[in-house]
Amino acid sequence: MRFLIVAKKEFIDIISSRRFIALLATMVVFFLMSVLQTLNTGRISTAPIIGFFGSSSLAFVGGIFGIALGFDLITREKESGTLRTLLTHPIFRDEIVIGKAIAAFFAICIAVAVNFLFMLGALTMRYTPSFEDFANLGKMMLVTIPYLYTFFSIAFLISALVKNSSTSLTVAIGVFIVLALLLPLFSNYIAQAIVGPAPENPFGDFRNLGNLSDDPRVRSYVQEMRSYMERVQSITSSLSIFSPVSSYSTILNSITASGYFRTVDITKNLLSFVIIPVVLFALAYFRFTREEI
Amino acid sequence: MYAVEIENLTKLYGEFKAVDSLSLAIEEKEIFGFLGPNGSGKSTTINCILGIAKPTSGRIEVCGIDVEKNPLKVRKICGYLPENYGLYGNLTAMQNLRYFSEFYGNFSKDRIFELLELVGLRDVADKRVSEFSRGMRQRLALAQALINDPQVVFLDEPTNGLDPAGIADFRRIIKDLQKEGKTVFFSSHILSEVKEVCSSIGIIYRGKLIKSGKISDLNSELFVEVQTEPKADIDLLKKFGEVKYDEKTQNFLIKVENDRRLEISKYLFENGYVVKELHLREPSLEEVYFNLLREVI
Ligand SMILES: Nc1ncnc2c1ncn2[C@@H]1O[C@H](COP(=O)(O)OP(=O)(O)OP(=O)(O)O)[C@@H](O)[C@H]1O
Ligand SMILES: [Mg+2]
Repeated sequence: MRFLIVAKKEFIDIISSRRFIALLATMVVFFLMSVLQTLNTGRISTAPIIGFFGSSSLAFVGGIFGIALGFDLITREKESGTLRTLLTHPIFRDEIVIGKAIAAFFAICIAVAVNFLFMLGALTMRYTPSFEDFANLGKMMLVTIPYLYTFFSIAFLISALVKNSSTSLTVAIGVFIVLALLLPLFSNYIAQAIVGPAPENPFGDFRNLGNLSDDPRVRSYVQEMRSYMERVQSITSSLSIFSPVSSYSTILNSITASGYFRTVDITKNLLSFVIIPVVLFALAYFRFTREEI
Repeated sequence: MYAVEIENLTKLYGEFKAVDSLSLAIEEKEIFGFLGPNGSGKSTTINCILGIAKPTSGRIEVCGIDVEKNPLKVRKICGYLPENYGLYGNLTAMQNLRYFSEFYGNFSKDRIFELLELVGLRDVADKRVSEFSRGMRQRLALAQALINDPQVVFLDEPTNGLDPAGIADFRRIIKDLQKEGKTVFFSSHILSEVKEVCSSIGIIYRGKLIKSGKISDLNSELFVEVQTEPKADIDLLKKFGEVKYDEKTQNFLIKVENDRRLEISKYLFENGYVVKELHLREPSLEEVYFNLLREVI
Protein backbone atom coordinates (compact mmCIF):
# COMPACT_ATOMS: atom_id res chain seq x y z
CA MET A 1 0.00 0.00 0.00
CA ARG A 2 2.87 2.33 -0.69
CA PHE A 3 0.72 4.42 -3.01
CA LEU A 4 -1.22 5.47 0.07
CA ILE A 5 1.91 7.13 1.44
CA VAL A 6 2.12 9.15 -1.75
CA ALA A 7 -1.61 9.84 -1.69
CA LYS A 8 -1.51 11.10 1.87
CA LYS A 9 1.38 13.47 1.23
CA GLU A 10 -0.08 14.74 -2.03
CA PHE A 11 -3.50 15.26 -0.47
CA ILE A 12 -2.06 17.39 2.31
CA ASP A 13 0.03 19.25 -0.26
CA ILE A 14 -3.00 20.03 -2.39
CA ILE A 15 -5.45 21.10 0.26
CA SER A 16 -2.90 23.22 2.07
CA SER A 17 -1.73 24.96 -1.10
CA ARG A 18 -2.63 28.58 -1.68
CA ARG A 19 -3.80 27.68 -5.14
CA PHE A 20 -6.39 25.23 -3.88
CA ILE A 21 -7.68 27.58 -1.24
CA ALA A 22 -7.89 30.55 -3.61
CA LEU A 23 -9.70 28.58 -6.29
CA LEU A 24 -12.05 27.00 -3.82
CA ALA A 25 -12.88 30.45 -2.47
CA THR A 26 -13.53 31.66 -6.02
CA MET A 27 -15.83 28.73 -6.64
CA VAL A 28 -17.75 29.37 -3.44
CA VAL A 29 -18.12 33.05 -4.29
CA PHE A 30 -19.49 32.19 -7.73
CA PHE A 31 -21.93 29.80 -6.19
CA LEU A 32 -23.13 32.19 -3.56
CA MET A 33 -23.45 35.15 -5.87
CA SER A 34 -25.61 33.20 -8.20
CA VAL A 35 -27.66 31.60 -5.45
CA LEU A 36 -28.37 35.00 -3.97
CA GLN A 37 -29.23 36.44 -7.36
CA THR A 38 -31.69 33.66 -8.04
CA LEU A 39 -33.21 34.03 -4.62
CA ASN A 40 -33.61 37.76 -5.17
CA THR A 41 -35.72 37.17 -8.23
CA GLY A 42 -38.17 35.58 -5.84
CA ARG A 43 -38.09 32.13 -7.39
CA ILE A 44 -37.56 30.01 -4.38
CA SER A 45 -36.46 26.71 -5.84
CA THR A 46 -33.18 24.96 -6.38
CA ALA A 47 -34.00 23.96 -9.92
CA PRO A 48 -33.23 27.31 -11.57
CA ILE A 49 -30.11 27.68 -9.48
CA ILE A 50 -28.77 24.42 -10.72
CA GLY A 51 -29.86 25.10 -14.27
CA PHE A 52 -28.09 28.42 -14.18
CA PHE A 53 -24.89 27.06 -12.75
CA GLY A 54 -24.74 24.03 -14.87
CA SER A 55 -24.40 26.03 -17.99
CA SER A 56 -22.30 28.87 -16.70
CA SER A 57 -20.22 29.78 -13.71
CA LEU A 58 -19.60 26.48 -12.08
CA ALA A 59 -18.80 24.68 -15.28
CA PHE A 60 -16.23 27.32 -16.05
CA VAL A 61 -14.68 27.88 -12.65
CA GLY A 62 -14.82 24.16 -11.99
CA GLY A 63 -13.00 23.33 -15.19
CA ILE A 64 -10.24 25.74 -14.30
CA PHE A 65 -10.15 24.30 -10.80
CA GLY A 66 -9.65 20.80 -12.15
CA ILE A 67 -6.88 21.96 -14.45
CA ALA A 68 -5.15 23.94 -11.72
CA LEU A 69 -5.05 20.83 -9.60
CA GLY A 70 -3.40 18.65 -12.19
CA PHE A 71 -1.25 20.60 -14.59
CA ASP A 72 1.95 20.55 -12.54
CA LEU A 73 1.40 17.49 -10.41
CA ILE A 74 4.06 15.58 -12.34
CA THR A 75 6.05 18.36 -14.02
CA ARG A 76 6.81 19.99 -10.67
CA GLU A 77 8.47 16.79 -9.50
CA LYS A 78 10.41 16.49 -12.73
CA GLU A 79 11.59 20.09 -12.52
CA SER A 80 12.66 20.02 -8.91
CA GLY A 81 14.33 16.63 -9.19
CA THR A 82 12.17 15.22 -6.42
CA LEU A 83 10.92 12.54 -8.76
CA ARG A 84 14.42 11.22 -9.06
CA THR A 85 14.94 11.19 -5.31
CA LEU A 86 11.58 9.60 -4.76
CA LEU A 87 12.34 6.86 -7.26
CA THR A 88 15.50 5.82 -5.44
CA HIS A 89 13.35 4.83 -2.51
CA PRO A 90 11.38 1.62 -2.71
CA ILE A 91 8.43 2.83 -4.75
CA PHE A 92 7.37 2.18 -8.31
CA ARG A 93 6.33 4.81 -10.75
CA ASP A 94 2.82 3.47 -11.10
CA GLU A 95 2.34 3.77 -7.36
CA ILE A 96 3.26 7.44 -7.64
CA VAL A 97 0.70 8.02 -10.40
CA ILE A 98 -2.03 6.17 -8.52
CA GLY A 99 -1.22 7.95 -5.27
CA LYS A 100 -1.48 11.34 -6.91
CA ALA A 101 -4.72 10.45 -8.68
CA ILE A 102 -6.28 9.33 -5.41
CA ALA A 103 -5.11 12.47 -3.62
CA ALA A 104 -6.65 14.69 -6.27
CA PHE A 105 -9.91 12.77 -6.09
CA PHE A 106 -10.25 13.36 -2.38
CA ALA A 107 -9.22 16.99 -2.70
CA ILE A 108 -11.98 17.44 -5.28
CA CYS A 109 -14.49 15.75 -3.01
CA ILE A 110 -13.54 18.15 -0.24
CA ALA A 111 -13.93 21.14 -2.55
CA VAL A 112 -17.34 19.98 -3.71
CA ALA A 113 -18.48 19.26 -0.17
CA VAL A 114 -17.50 22.77 0.89
CA ASN A 115 -19.51 24.20 -1.98
CA PHE A 116 -22.46 22.03 -1.08
CA LEU A 117 -22.44 23.29 2.49
CA PHE A 118 -22.23 26.90 1.38
CA MET A 119 -25.11 26.48 -1.05
CA LEU A 120 -27.22 24.80 1.54
CA GLY A 121 -26.34 27.55 3.97
CA ALA A 122 -27.38 30.22 1.52
CA LEU A 123 -30.70 28.49 0.92
CA THR A 124 -31.47 28.08 4.59
CA MET A 125 -31.03 31.80 5.06
CA ARG A 126 -34.15 32.24 2.96
CA TYR A 127 -36.28 29.25 3.72
CA THR A 128 -36.15 25.69 4.94
CA PRO A 129 -34.95 23.59 2.02
CA SER A 130 -37.29 20.80 1.11
CA PHE A 131 -36.14 17.25 0.63
CA GLU A 132 -36.25 17.88 -3.11
CA ASP A 133 -33.91 20.85 -2.81
CA PHE A 134 -31.59 18.72 -0.81
CA ALA A 135 -31.73 15.93 -3.36
CA ASN A 136 -31.23 18.34 -6.25
CA LEU A 137 -28.18 19.87 -4.67
CA GLY A 138 -26.88 16.44 -3.75
CA LYS A 139 -27.25 15.17 -7.32
CA MET A 140 -25.62 18.30 -8.62
CA MET A 141 -22.64 17.75 -6.36
CA LEU A 142 -22.40 14.10 -7.32
CA VAL A 143 -22.09 15.14 -10.94
CA THR A 144 -19.71 17.95 -10.13
CA ILE A 145 -17.14 15.58 -8.64
CA PRO A 146 -16.53 13.58 -11.84
CA TYR A 147 -16.77 16.78 -13.86
CA LEU A 148 -13.92 18.38 -11.94
CA TYR A 149 -12.07 15.11 -11.99
CA THR A 150 -12.35 14.89 -15.76
CA PHE A 151 -10.61 18.23 -16.12
CA PHE A 152 -8.10 17.18 -13.55
CA SER A 153 -7.30 14.06 -15.54
CA ILE A 154 -6.84 16.09 -18.71
CA ALA A 155 -4.30 18.32 -16.97
CA PHE A 156 -2.70 15.32 -15.28
CA LEU A 157 -2.09 13.62 -18.60
CA ILE A 158 -0.58 16.79 -20.03
CA SER A 159 1.63 16.99 -16.96
CA ALA A 160 2.87 13.49 -17.68
CA LEU A 161 3.47 14.29 -21.34
CA VAL A 162 5.49 17.51 -21.18
CA LYS A 163 8.70 18.45 -19.42
CA ASN A 164 7.84 21.59 -17.52
CA SER A 165 4.97 23.28 -15.75
CA SER A 166 4.71 26.35 -17.94
CA THR A 167 4.32 24.25 -21.08
CA SER A 168 1.84 22.08 -19.26
CA LEU A 169 -0.25 25.06 -18.19
CA THR A 170 -0.25 26.55 -21.67
CA VAL A 171 -1.36 23.31 -23.29
CA ALA A 172 -3.96 22.66 -20.60
CA ILE A 173 -5.50 26.10 -21.03
CA GLY A 174 -5.57 25.56 -24.78
CA VAL A 175 -7.39 22.27 -24.33
CA PHE A 176 -9.76 23.91 -21.88
CA ILE A 177 -10.66 26.62 -24.36
CA VAL A 178 -11.32 24.04 -27.05
CA LEU A 179 -13.46 21.90 -24.77
CA ALA A 180 -15.25 24.63 -22.87
CA LEU A 181 -15.81 27.18 -25.62
CA LEU A 182 -15.14 25.91 -29.12
CA LEU A 183 -16.59 22.42 -29.02
CA PRO A 184 -20.00 23.42 -27.58
CA LEU A 185 -20.18 26.13 -30.21
CA PHE A 186 -19.31 23.78 -33.00
CA SER A 187 -21.63 21.06 -31.82
CA ASN A 188 -24.54 23.43 -32.32
CA TYR A 189 -23.39 24.35 -35.81
CA ILE A 190 -22.83 20.76 -36.70
CA ALA A 191 -26.21 19.70 -35.35
CA GLN A 192 -27.98 22.45 -37.25
CA ALA A 193 -26.10 21.61 -40.42
CA ILE A 194 -27.25 17.99 -40.14
CA VAL A 195 -30.86 18.66 -39.21
CA GLY A 196 -31.39 21.54 -41.60
CA PRO A 197 -33.38 24.73 -41.09
CA ALA A 198 -36.06 25.00 -38.44
CA PRO A 199 -39.69 24.53 -39.59
CA GLU A 200 -41.29 27.77 -40.63
CA ASN A 201 -43.83 29.47 -38.45
CA PRO A 202 -46.97 29.72 -40.59
CA PHE A 203 -47.86 33.02 -38.95
CA GLY A 204 -44.49 34.68 -39.14
CA ASP A 205 -44.64 35.75 -35.54
CA PHE A 206 -45.70 34.06 -32.36
CA ARG A 207 -47.63 37.10 -31.25
CA ASN A 208 -50.06 36.61 -34.08
CA LEU A 209 -50.98 33.20 -32.78
CA GLY A 210 -53.45 34.75 -30.36
CA ASN A 211 -56.09 32.22 -29.37
CA LEU A 212 -55.69 30.24 -32.53
CA SER A 213 -54.14 27.40 -30.61
CA ASP A 214 -56.94 25.14 -31.78
CA ASP A 215 -55.94 25.78 -35.35
CA PRO A 216 -54.61 22.52 -36.84
CA ARG A 217 -51.77 24.49 -38.54
CA VAL A 218 -50.63 25.68 -35.14
CA ARG A 219 -50.76 22.21 -33.72
CA SER A 220 -48.79 20.74 -36.59
CA TYR A 221 -46.28 23.56 -36.33
CA VAL A 222 -45.79 22.93 -32.61
CA GLN A 223 -45.43 19.24 -33.40
CA GLU A 224 -42.81 19.87 -36.06
CA MET A 225 -40.93 22.29 -33.91
CA ARG A 226 -40.83 19.86 -31.07
CA SER A 227 -39.42 17.02 -33.14
CA TYR A 228 -36.95 19.43 -34.72
CA MET A 229 -35.70 20.49 -31.32
CA GLU A 230 -35.40 16.90 -30.24
CA ARG A 231 -33.29 16.01 -33.23
CA VAL A 232 -30.98 18.98 -32.69
CA GLN A 233 -30.76 18.15 -29.05
CA SER A 234 -29.93 14.52 -29.62
CA ILE A 235 -27.07 15.41 -31.98
CA THR A 236 -25.60 18.08 -29.73
CA SER A 237 -25.85 15.75 -26.80
CA SER A 238 -23.98 13.06 -28.70
CA LEU A 239 -21.28 15.54 -29.57
CA SER A 240 -21.24 16.91 -26.08
CA ILE A 241 -19.86 13.64 -24.85
CA PHE A 242 -16.50 14.90 -25.99
CA SER A 243 -16.87 18.15 -24.14
CA PRO A 244 -17.07 17.72 -20.39
CA VAL A 245 -18.51 21.23 -20.16
CA SER A 246 -21.44 20.33 -22.38
CA SER A 247 -21.91 16.98 -20.69
CA TYR A 248 -22.05 18.73 -17.40
CA SER A 249 -24.72 21.21 -18.48
CA THR A 250 -26.69 18.49 -20.16
CA ILE A 251 -26.72 16.36 -17.05
CA LEU A 252 -27.55 19.27 -14.75
CA ASN A 253 -30.31 20.41 -17.04
CA SER A 254 -31.80 16.99 -17.03
CA ILE A 255 -31.66 16.73 -13.24
CA THR A 256 -33.95 19.75 -13.01
CA ALA A 257 -35.51 19.12 -16.36
CA SER A 258 -38.62 20.63 -17.74
CA GLY A 259 -40.07 20.90 -21.20
CA TYR A 260 -38.16 19.74 -24.23
CA PHE A 261 -35.09 18.61 -22.39
CA ARG A 262 -36.79 16.08 -20.21
CA THR A 263 -36.44 13.33 -22.74
CA VAL A 264 -32.70 13.70 -23.24
CA ASP A 265 -30.81 10.56 -22.46
CA ILE A 266 -27.87 11.40 -20.21
CA THR A 267 -26.40 7.91 -19.91
CA LYS A 268 -23.77 8.74 -22.51
CA ASN A 269 -22.79 11.91 -20.69
CA LEU A 270 -22.54 10.14 -17.38
CA LEU A 271 -20.48 7.41 -18.96
CA SER A 272 -18.18 9.98 -20.52
CA PHE A 273 -17.32 11.20 -17.04
CA VAL A 274 -16.09 7.74 -16.23
CA ILE A 275 -14.55 6.78 -19.53
CA ILE A 276 -12.66 10.02 -20.24
CA PRO A 277 -10.76 10.04 -16.94
CA VAL A 278 -10.04 6.33 -17.15
CA VAL A 279 -8.67 6.58 -20.67
CA LEU A 280 -6.62 9.67 -19.84
CA PHE A 281 -5.21 7.96 -16.76
CA ALA A 282 -4.29 4.91 -18.71
CA LEU A 283 -2.40 7.17 -21.11
CA ALA A 284 -0.73 9.17 -18.33
CA TYR A 285 0.21 5.96 -16.59
CA PHE A 286 1.58 4.43 -19.75
CA ARG A 287 3.59 7.50 -20.55
CA PHE A 288 4.90 8.13 -17.07
CA THR A 289 6.09 4.59 -16.47
CA ARG A 290 8.15 4.71 -19.63
CA GLU A 291 9.49 8.22 -19.55
CA GLU A 292 13.16 9.10 -19.26
CA ILE A 293 13.67 11.53 -16.44
CA MET B 1 30.93 -10.33 -4.04
CA TYR B 2 31.27 -6.80 -5.29
CA ALA B 3 29.28 -3.91 -3.90
CA VAL B 4 28.72 -2.62 -7.39
CA GLU B 5 29.39 -4.53 -10.55
CA ILE B 6 28.75 -3.00 -13.95
CA GLU B 7 29.22 -4.96 -17.11
CA ASN B 8 29.23 -3.29 -20.50
CA LEU B 9 26.80 -0.56 -19.59
CA THR B 10 25.66 1.57 -22.51
CA LYS B 11 23.11 4.33 -22.27
CA LEU B 12 21.85 6.10 -25.35
CA TYR B 13 19.86 9.32 -25.39
CA GLY B 14 18.59 9.17 -28.94
CA GLU B 15 21.74 8.74 -30.97
CA PHE B 16 23.94 10.17 -28.26
CA LYS B 17 26.03 7.77 -26.17
CA ALA B 18 25.97 9.16 -22.65
CA VAL B 19 27.62 6.00 -21.31
CA ASP B 20 29.64 3.80 -23.61
CA SER B 21 30.26 0.10 -22.76
CA LEU B 22 31.37 0.86 -19.26
CA SER B 23 32.53 -1.95 -17.01
CA LEU B 24 33.40 -1.42 -13.40
CA ALA B 25 33.63 -3.38 -10.19
CA ILE B 26 33.78 -1.85 -6.75
CA GLU B 27 34.75 -3.86 -3.72
CA GLU B 28 32.68 -3.75 -0.58
CA LYS B 29 33.64 -1.24 2.11
CA GLU B 30 35.42 0.86 -0.45
CA ILE B 31 35.14 4.61 -0.93
CA PHE B 32 35.06 4.97 -4.65
CA GLY B 33 35.57 8.32 -6.34
CA PHE B 34 34.05 8.76 -9.76
CA LEU B 35 35.85 11.47 -11.67
CA GLY B 36 35.23 13.07 -15.00
CA PRO B 37 34.66 16.40 -16.69
CA ASN B 38 31.18 17.94 -17.03
CA GLY B 39 28.85 15.93 -19.19
CA SER B 40 31.06 12.84 -19.18
CA GLY B 41 28.28 10.56 -17.94
CA LYS B 42 28.80 10.34 -14.19
CA SER B 43 25.24 11.14 -13.19
CA THR B 44 23.87 8.98 -15.97
CA THR B 45 25.88 6.02 -14.73
CA ILE B 46 24.63 6.52 -11.17
CA ASN B 47 21.05 6.84 -12.43
CA CYS B 48 21.41 3.56 -14.28
CA ILE B 49 22.79 1.81 -11.23
CA LEU B 50 19.78 2.91 -9.21
CA GLY B 51 17.35 2.02 -11.95
CA ILE B 52 16.14 5.59 -12.43
CA ALA B 53 17.41 5.56 -15.98
CA LYS B 54 16.97 2.47 -18.07
CA PRO B 55 20.22 1.17 -19.54
CA THR B 56 20.22 0.64 -23.28
CA SER B 57 22.33 -2.45 -22.73
CA GLY B 58 24.53 -4.00 -20.11
CA ARG B 59 24.12 -5.57 -16.73
CA ILE B 60 24.33 -3.99 -13.29
CA GLU B 61 24.43 -5.68 -9.93
CA VAL B 62 24.45 -4.09 -6.50
CA CYS B 63 25.55 -6.47 -3.73
CA GLY B 64 24.81 -9.32 -6.10
CA ILE B 65 21.28 -8.13 -6.88
CA ASP B 66 20.40 -7.50 -10.50
CA VAL B 67 19.07 -3.96 -10.83
CA GLU B 68 16.83 -4.58 -13.78
CA LYS B 69 15.25 -7.71 -12.35
CA ASN B 70 14.93 -6.52 -8.81
CA PRO B 71 14.88 -2.74 -8.68
CA LEU B 72 13.01 -2.51 -5.40
CA LYS B 73 15.44 -4.75 -3.56
CA VAL B 74 18.34 -2.66 -4.81
CA ARG B 75 16.69 0.58 -3.75
CA LYS B 76 16.14 -0.79 -0.28
CA ILE B 77 19.86 -1.22 0.29
CA CYS B 78 20.99 1.91 -1.54
CA GLY B 79 21.08 5.55 -0.62
CA TYR B 80 21.31 8.35 -3.13
CA LEU B 81 22.20 11.99 -2.94
CA PRO B 82 21.08 13.49 -6.23
CA GLU B 83 22.73 16.25 -8.19
CA ASN B 84 20.15 18.94 -7.48
CA TYR B 85 19.06 18.04 -3.95
CA GLY B 86 15.68 16.74 -5.10
CA LEU B 87 13.85 17.81 -1.96
CA TYR B 88 10.33 19.13 -1.47
CA GLY B 89 10.59 22.88 -0.97
CA ASN B 90 7.13 23.19 0.52
CA LEU B 91 7.93 20.69 3.26
CA THR B 92 10.17 21.13 6.27
CA ALA B 93 13.41 19.21 6.71
CA MET B 94 11.64 16.91 9.12
CA GLN B 95 8.67 16.33 6.79
CA ASN B 96 10.95 15.58 3.86
CA LEU B 97 12.83 12.91 5.77
CA ARG B 98 9.65 11.58 7.25
CA TYR B 99 8.07 11.15 3.83
CA PHE B 100 11.02 9.25 2.42
CA SER B 101 11.36 7.07 5.50
CA GLU B 102 7.74 5.96 5.27
CA PHE B 103 8.52 3.91 2.19
CA TYR B 104 10.65 1.63 4.33
CA GLY B 105 7.82 1.11 6.75
CA ASN B 106 9.98 1.90 9.75
CA PHE B 107 9.46 5.54 10.40
CA SER B 108 11.13 6.66 13.60
CA LYS B 109 11.34 10.22 14.77
CA ASP B 110 14.46 9.47 16.76
CA ARG B 111 16.24 8.16 13.72
CA ILE B 112 15.35 11.32 11.80
CA PHE B 113 16.59 13.57 14.58
CA GLU B 114 19.75 11.52 14.71
CA LEU B 115 20.30 12.09 11.01
CA LEU B 116 19.55 15.80 11.26
CA GLU B 117 22.03 15.98 14.10
CA LEU B 118 24.60 14.17 11.99
CA VAL B 119 24.37 16.69 9.16
CA GLY B 120 24.06 19.65 11.51
CA LEU B 121 20.46 20.57 10.78
CA ARG B 122 18.90 19.68 14.12
CA ASP B 123 18.02 23.32 14.84
CA VAL B 124 16.20 23.87 11.57
CA ALA B 125 14.23 20.63 11.54
CA ASP B 126 10.96 22.51 11.25
CA LYS B 127 12.02 25.07 8.71
CA ARG B 128 10.74 24.82 5.16
CA VAL B 129 13.33 23.60 2.70
CA SER B 130 12.48 26.43 0.29
CA GLU B 131 13.99 28.75 2.88
CA PHE B 132 17.19 26.70 3.08
CA SER B 133 20.53 27.84 1.72
CA ARG B 134 22.31 25.78 -0.89
CA GLY B 135 24.61 24.15 1.62
CA MET B 136 21.75 23.38 3.98
CA ARG B 137 19.91 21.65 1.19
CA GLN B 138 22.99 19.64 0.38
CA ARG B 139 23.26 18.57 4.01
CA LEU B 140 19.63 17.57 4.08
CA ALA B 141 20.05 15.67 0.86
CA LEU B 142 22.84 13.70 2.50
CA ALA B 143 20.59 12.89 5.45
CA GLN B 144 17.96 11.79 2.94
CA ALA B 145 20.51 9.45 1.33
CA LEU B 146 21.14 7.79 4.67
CA ILE B 147 17.51 7.49 5.72
CA ASN B 148 17.35 3.72 5.21
CA ASP B 149 20.76 2.95 6.69
CA PRO B 150 21.94 1.85 3.24
CA GLN B 151 24.61 -0.68 2.39
CA VAL B 152 25.81 1.28 -0.61
CA VAL B 153 25.59 5.06 -0.78
CA PHE B 154 25.71 6.97 -4.03
CA LEU B 155 26.58 10.61 -3.76
CA ASP B 156 26.46 12.83 -6.80
CA GLU B 157 28.77 15.76 -6.16
CA PRO B 158 28.10 15.75 -2.45
CA THR B 159 30.24 18.71 -1.46
CA ASN B 160 28.58 21.06 -3.91
CA GLY B 161 27.77 24.26 -2.05
CA LEU B 162 29.21 23.15 1.28
CA ASP B 163 31.29 25.47 3.42
CA PRO B 164 34.66 24.26 4.79
CA ALA B 165 33.00 22.98 7.94
CA GLY B 166 30.44 21.21 5.80
CA ILE B 167 33.18 19.59 3.75
CA ALA B 168 34.93 18.45 6.90
CA ASP B 169 31.63 17.07 8.24
CA PHE B 170 31.05 15.30 4.99
CA ARG B 171 34.48 13.65 5.05
CA ARG B 172 33.97 12.54 8.58
CA ILE B 173 30.57 11.12 7.73
CA ILE B 174 31.71 9.07 4.79
CA LYS B 175 34.74 7.78 6.63
CA ASP B 176 32.42 6.73 9.43
CA LEU B 177 30.21 5.04 6.90
CA GLN B 178 33.16 3.09 5.65
CA LYS B 179 34.03 2.06 9.20
CA GLU B 180 30.49 0.76 9.57
CA GLY B 181 31.17 -1.48 6.61
CA LYS B 182 29.32 0.52 3.97
CA THR B 183 30.40 1.20 0.46
CA VAL B 184 30.44 4.78 -0.74
CA PHE B 185 30.33 5.72 -4.40
CA PHE B 186 30.68 9.38 -5.10
CA SER B 187 31.18 11.55 -8.09
CA SER B 188 33.16 14.71 -8.00
CA HIS B 189 35.19 17.22 -9.91
CA ILE B 190 37.25 18.11 -6.92
CA LEU B 191 40.41 16.06 -7.08
CA SER B 192 41.80 17.06 -3.71
CA GLU B 193 38.62 15.86 -2.10
CA VAL B 194 38.78 12.55 -3.90
CA LYS B 195 42.40 12.09 -2.92
CA GLU B 196 41.53 12.85 0.67
CA VAL B 197 38.81 10.28 1.15
CA CYS B 198 38.81 7.71 -1.63
CA SER B 199 40.50 4.37 -1.63
CA SER B 200 39.85 3.79 -5.31
CA ILE B 201 38.77 5.85 -8.26
CA GLY B 202 37.42 5.63 -11.74
CA ILE B 203 37.83 8.25 -14.42
CA ILE B 204 35.17 8.61 -17.05
CA TYR B 205 35.44 10.61 -20.23
CA ARG B 206 32.72 10.91 -22.87
CA GLY B 207 30.92 7.95 -21.41
CA LYS B 208 33.97 5.70 -21.44
CA LEU B 209 35.80 4.55 -18.36
CA ILE B 210 39.40 5.43 -19.11
CA LYS B 211 40.94 4.36 -15.84
CA SER B 212 39.98 2.69 -12.62
CA GLY B 213 41.72 1.16 -9.67
CA LYS B 214 43.22 1.79 -6.27
CA ILE B 215 44.61 5.26 -5.85
CA SER B 216 47.94 3.78 -4.83
CA ASP B 217 48.16 1.79 -8.07
CA LEU B 218 47.28 4.72 -10.23
CA ASN B 219 50.51 6.57 -9.75
CA SER B 220 52.29 4.26 -12.10
CA GLU B 221 54.73 6.89 -13.19
CA LEU B 222 57.46 7.39 -10.66
CA PHE B 223 60.23 9.96 -10.90
CA VAL B 224 63.43 10.49 -9.04
CA GLU B 225 64.27 14.13 -8.81
CA VAL B 226 67.95 14.81 -8.38
CA GLN B 227 70.29 17.80 -8.22
CA THR B 228 74.04 17.45 -8.21
CA GLU B 229 77.06 19.64 -7.78
CA PRO B 230 78.46 20.14 -10.39
CA LYS B 231 75.72 19.46 -12.90
CA ALA B 232 75.88 15.83 -13.91
CA ASP B 233 76.21 14.56 -17.44
CA ILE B 234 72.72 13.71 -18.66
CA ASP B 235 73.94 10.58 -20.48
CA LEU B 236 75.23 9.23 -17.25
CA LEU B 237 71.73 9.18 -15.78
CA LYS B 238 70.07 7.58 -18.79
CA LYS B 239 70.96 4.10 -17.58
CA PHE B 240 68.24 4.48 -14.93
CA GLY B 241 65.47 5.59 -17.25
CA GLU B 242 64.20 8.46 -19.32
CA VAL B 243 65.75 11.73 -18.18
CA LYS B 244 64.50 15.28 -18.39
CA TYR B 245 66.27 18.38 -17.18
CA ASP B 246 64.29 21.16 -15.64
CA GLU B 247 66.09 24.48 -16.22
CA LYS B 248 64.16 26.34 -13.60
CA THR B 249 64.80 24.07 -10.68
CA GLN B 250 68.03 22.70 -12.16
CA ASN B 251 66.78 19.24 -11.31
CA PHE B 252 66.98 16.09 -13.34
CA LEU B 253 63.79 14.08 -13.54
CA ILE B 254 64.44 10.41 -14.05
CA LYS B 255 61.50 8.23 -14.85
CA VAL B 256 61.94 5.02 -12.92
CA GLU B 257 60.10 1.76 -12.49
CA ASN B 258 60.65 1.67 -8.77
CA ASP B 259 62.47 3.53 -6.06
CA ARG B 260 66.13 3.55 -7.16
CA ARG B 261 67.37 6.46 -5.11
CA LEU B 262 70.11 4.52 -3.35
CA GLU B 263 71.63 3.22 -6.56
CA ILE B 264 71.45 6.62 -8.18
CA SER B 265 73.12 8.45 -5.35
CA LYS B 266 75.85 5.82 -5.09
CA TYR B 267 76.49 5.90 -8.79
CA LEU B 268 76.66 9.69 -8.90
CA PHE B 269 78.99 9.75 -5.94
CA GLU B 270 81.30 7.22 -7.60
CA ASN B 271 81.37 9.46 -10.65
CA GLY B 272 82.46 12.46 -8.64
CA TYR B 273 79.23 14.30 -8.15
CA VAL B 274 77.81 15.52 -4.88
CA VAL B 275 74.11 14.91 -4.52
CA LYS B 276 72.50 18.12 -3.24
CA GLU B 277 68.93 16.99 -3.46
CA LEU B 278 67.32 13.68 -4.09
CA HIS B 279 63.74 12.63 -3.76
CA LEU B 280 61.06 10.44 -5.15
CA ARG B 281 58.23 12.16 -6.91
CA GLU B 282 54.81 10.71 -7.48
CA PRO B 283 52.55 12.58 -9.81
CA SER B 284 49.62 14.21 -8.07
CA LEU B 285 46.13 13.04 -8.80
CA GLU B 286 45.74 16.16 -10.90
CA GLU B 287 48.65 15.13 -13.06
CA VAL B 288 47.37 11.60 -13.42
CA TYR B 289 43.96 12.92 -14.29
CA PHE B 290 45.10 15.46 -16.82
CA ASN B 291 47.66 13.11 -18.34
CA LEU B 292 44.99 10.51 -18.83
CA LEU B 293 42.61 13.00 -20.37
CA ARG B 294 45.34 14.29 -22.63
CA GLU B 295 45.99 10.74 -23.78
CA VAL B 296 42.41 10.09 -24.78
CA ILE B 297 41.58 13.43 -26.32
N1 LIG C 1 17.73 13.15 -20.23
C1 LIG C 1 18.72 13.35 -21.10
N2 LIG C 1 18.46 13.48 -22.41
C2 LIG C 1 19.44 13.68 -23.31
N3 LIG C 1 20.74 13.74 -23.01
C3 LIG C 1 21.08 13.62 -21.72
C4 LIG C 1 20.09 13.42 -20.70
N4 LIG C 1 20.74 13.33 -19.52
C5 LIG C 1 22.04 13.48 -19.78
N5 LIG C 1 22.26 13.64 -21.10
C6 LIG C 1 23.56 13.81 -21.74
O1 LIG C 1 24.41 12.78 -21.32
C7 LIG C 1 25.70 13.27 -21.07
C8 LIG C 1 26.15 12.86 -19.69
O2 LIG C 1 25.41 13.58 -18.73
P1 LIG C 1 25.64 13.42 -17.18
O3 LIG C 1 24.63 14.22 -16.50
O4 LIG C 1 25.70 11.97 -16.87
O5 LIG C 1 27.08 14.08 -17.00
P2 LIG C 1 27.92 14.28 -15.66
O6 LIG C 1 29.18 13.55 -15.85
O7 LIG C 1 27.10 13.96 -14.49
O8 LIG C 1 28.20 15.83 -15.73
P3 LIG C 1 28.32 16.92 -14.56
O9 LIG C 1 29.69 16.79 -14.02
O10 LIG C 1 28.13 18.20 -15.25
O11 LIG C 1 27.26 16.61 -13.56
C9 LIG C 1 25.66 14.77 -21.29
O12 LIG C 1 26.26 15.06 -22.51
C10 LIG C 1 24.21 15.10 -21.32
O13 LIG C 1 23.97 16.11 -22.26
MG1 LIG D 1 26.38 15.04 -12.95
